[in-house]
Amino acid sequence: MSTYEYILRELSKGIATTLELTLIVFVGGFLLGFILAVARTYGIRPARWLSIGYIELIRGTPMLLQLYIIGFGVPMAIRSYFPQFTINPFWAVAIGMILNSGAYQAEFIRGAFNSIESGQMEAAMALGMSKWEIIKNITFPQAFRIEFPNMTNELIYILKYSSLAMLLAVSEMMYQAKSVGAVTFMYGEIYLMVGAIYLVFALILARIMNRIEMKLYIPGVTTRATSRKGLLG
Amino acid sequence: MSEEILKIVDLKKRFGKNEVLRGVSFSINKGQTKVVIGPSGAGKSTMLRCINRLVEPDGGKIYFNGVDITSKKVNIMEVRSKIGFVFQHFNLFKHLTALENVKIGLKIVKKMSDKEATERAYKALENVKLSDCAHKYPAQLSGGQQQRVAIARALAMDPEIILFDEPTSALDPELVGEVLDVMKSLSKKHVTMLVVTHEIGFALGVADEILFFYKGIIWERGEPNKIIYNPQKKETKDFLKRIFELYSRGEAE
Repeated sequence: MSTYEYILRELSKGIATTLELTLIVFVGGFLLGFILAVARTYGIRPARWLSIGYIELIRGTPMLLQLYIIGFGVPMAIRSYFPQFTINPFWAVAIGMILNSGAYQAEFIRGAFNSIESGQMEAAMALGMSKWEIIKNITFPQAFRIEFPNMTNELIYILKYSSLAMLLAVSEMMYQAKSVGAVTFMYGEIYLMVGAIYLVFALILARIMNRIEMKLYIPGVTTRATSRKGLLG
Repeated sequence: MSEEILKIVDLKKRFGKNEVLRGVSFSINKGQTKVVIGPSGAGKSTMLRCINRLVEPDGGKIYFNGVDITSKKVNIMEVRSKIGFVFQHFNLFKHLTALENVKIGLKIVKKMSDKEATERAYKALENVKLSDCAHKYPAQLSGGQQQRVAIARALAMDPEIILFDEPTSALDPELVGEVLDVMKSLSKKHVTMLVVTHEIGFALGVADEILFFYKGIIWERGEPNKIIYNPQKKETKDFLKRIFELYSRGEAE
């Protein structure tokens, strides 16, 4: 087996973890973001305050610090009561990144909710719909389309920043790159390869998201201009 | 035909220091069309919005089929489903086609099956002569067509009364006629209607009574011919004079 084959094999182990982490964080962050955005836009006052406080706290502190707190701080605190407690580093990072991404995705969704003119809410109320029915059937389907380009951004952002997981010893792509580098001393070649792999996945994800965006297009809700084709078609 | 559907007693509403409604009372019987006119800021829109509690009134009572719907015990969502509302700016749901706009209330609020809702929505669209636009989105329709879809959306719910809030004010002049034609046909079919509008011709043609709103109260009221051609109060005369000037100037040009 050549050195390059060895490097590629080790890196590909990391790719699976990177993609897994990216998708889990993207979906989890979206669900959390949706709840936060609904609470902030349509919730009663305490719910609004909680949502705002949470978002400001997350946005105002570094993600790495948040990951350390979830990965090291919280487990240590729990261990002082339950000495046997351990947390899988993958899930520590996944939870930490979901908590982080949720705050950002909440802001995208909130912005989209706010951009829908209040007349549609009134019309839905006048038909006799409840608040939840209005969110589910009227405002969210539009907000989702409006915020979709931001979701593409967030997905690619998560893909790249999942590399922070290496600092909690999660064997994603960057972690694997460093390990293989330590064995082969081919750091330059390895990091170039890793960079290329990230770039290819970013382009593929952007292309998939653009396709979905075009599928979701409704005249008057979003514009064609935002549904342009990506670099990979 | 003399069954009283809506009765409003001493309705009051203030926004901060601004007293928008200062005690409005009137009623509408089944099958009647009443038209509300008056200068901007007189409280016409606020009065309509109080009726289905899009705006919460501060005082007074609103009886809908004899039940006081200002009471907190009333299920307001159920009441709203029986009161149609047509807005100045149409307020169609932008992500839904014309047909889906009409269907959604039937499905979500009236819990109809998709098939039943579709049939009924098509009938409502036929009523406003828009069956051929069923699968277009609001952005692909003219203002007049959008407003007719909005009327179909209200109509399909089989409401006991429809409230119109300046339904033609946001339309280009050449599109006003098609919307008024639909409203006239509804009035002739004895759909109960309460219409805020500046369309004097419409009021003369179909209204059972005109209510002239001024400074938050009903300043003058009566039969259309009497109010339009022989108003008693100075404020009513001034208002109508301004409306007529606007129209005649338009004709002169």
